[in-house]
Amino acid sequence: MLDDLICGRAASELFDGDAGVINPTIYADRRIYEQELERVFARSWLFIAHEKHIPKTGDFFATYMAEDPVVVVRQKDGSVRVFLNQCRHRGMKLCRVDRGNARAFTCSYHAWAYGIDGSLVNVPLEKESFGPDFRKADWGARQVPRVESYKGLIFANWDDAAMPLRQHLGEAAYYLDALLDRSPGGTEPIGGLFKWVIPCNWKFAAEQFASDMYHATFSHMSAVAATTPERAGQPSPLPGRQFRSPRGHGTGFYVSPGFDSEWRVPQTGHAVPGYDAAAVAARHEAHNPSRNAIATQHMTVFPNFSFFAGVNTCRVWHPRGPGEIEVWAFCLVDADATAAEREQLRQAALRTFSPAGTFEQDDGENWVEIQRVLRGFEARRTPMNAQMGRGREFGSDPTYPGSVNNAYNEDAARGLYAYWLEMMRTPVRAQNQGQADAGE
Amino acid sequence: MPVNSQQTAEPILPAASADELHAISQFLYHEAELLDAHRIAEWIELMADDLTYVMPICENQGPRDRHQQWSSPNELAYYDEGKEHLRLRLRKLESARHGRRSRNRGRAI
Repeated sequence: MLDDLICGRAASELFDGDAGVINPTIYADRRIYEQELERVFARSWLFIAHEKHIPKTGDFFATYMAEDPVVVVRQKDGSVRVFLNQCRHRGMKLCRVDRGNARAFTCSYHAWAYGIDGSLVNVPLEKESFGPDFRKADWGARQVPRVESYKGLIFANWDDAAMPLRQHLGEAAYYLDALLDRSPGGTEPIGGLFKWVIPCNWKFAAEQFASDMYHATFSHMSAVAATTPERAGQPSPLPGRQFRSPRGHGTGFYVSPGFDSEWRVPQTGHAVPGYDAAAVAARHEAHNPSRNAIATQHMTVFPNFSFFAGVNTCRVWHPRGPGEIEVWAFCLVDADATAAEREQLRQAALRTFSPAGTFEQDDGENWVEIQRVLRGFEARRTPMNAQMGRGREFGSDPTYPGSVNNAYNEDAARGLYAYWLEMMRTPVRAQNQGQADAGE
Repeated sequence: MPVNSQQTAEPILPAASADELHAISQFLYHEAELLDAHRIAEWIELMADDLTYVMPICENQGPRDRHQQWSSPNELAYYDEGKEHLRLRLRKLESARHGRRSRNRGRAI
């Protein structure tokens, strides 16, 4: 049974998927945010790290699952564990550095020490001061029960009854492959992780990367004018597609083989010596032609992992209250890329989609201003239009799987909010069974 | 570039005479006036042609790994660019669409 009310409001009043109308209070209301933490984030597959961020035994990386700090650690047997970054004694943060290699994690408060598997291995003065019924085995760091990978990307889920990651991705996996399986060697991260704060609700960022090719022509016009002026101010003449997942994922792209490897050149102002865009395209074409044709792809894996494949920027929108996010972004490169290809991609990524990038600043400006507008009482109750593509039939695509549509559309956005609403309406106890039944 | 704390402490700049310090401060005022007046193209032309500017990413590292707290030259950085990118950023600022956004914002505030 789904709840009819969310924080005292009728569910259909918050989002009406048939009408394509959003109530902006979903971006601003603190109670709705608290319910998102419990009903969306605490039972969704959340991105943790790339496998190659932690290749060796004891390699760890400290990150977050929504607001919960967690540590992901490579184990002796090659597997990966994720546990809450919280000491079981008084709740102090266990691991206080961003990444590294560890044999143990020792709390800085009373020096309780945990192994790389999260088990409690040492308690100072245990024999002298704790009672006979104290057992370290009962007080290990809290494990995230489900940890699964898809082609190098590690995800974790607090819900031990959640459907497997691969099943949750469903047909969206094909579109992840356009990034992750475009070249025979797969991907690896370029070193370095950007972290910055944007005062906006997480759903603005997640929705835009899921569904919004529309804004690029207008919001990014000055960045386009500065780099590829022949394209400025015009919707792309290339054929475009958008995919809507039944579980909130979404992506959009143009169909143009070799476009991305060329596009990286004007973004840096020049080709890096030795960079051969045609050779990149030929390698991708030989590996998988239909994925090589996917260009300037934006995508969100519900709820808060997104990428833009034009420069392979991947990011998590960590929620920080209804009006703020921390963006954690890195860049993926083909593991079989040449040195010049890596450098071309690195430069293009940090000059376009990074905190000081010419495109990134346009997006942040929009989201911040929207959030500021929503401080207004009347603004918070003025419905927003998400009707683009509604009532239009664009048909299916012979090449690309799933519910596929025109690139200029808000079908994927409606899909994201529809799935969000379903999770928000699903009581926590009944959730496990509901998820298990909702297979492909 | 990041300062390596392992190195012995030496002055970052050689000693300058009072006249040189005066010339440097006047140059900084000149830069500030050009930027305040939005004469950005003229400001860019004050830069050396082989200018590069880098702002690496800093990570929170323990004492053992402090040597790798800054991202290295082949890794991501907030800025890692030169004069041609200053010109690119100026082209963005000067494009008609960007100006319209800025003016709209100015009126709203």
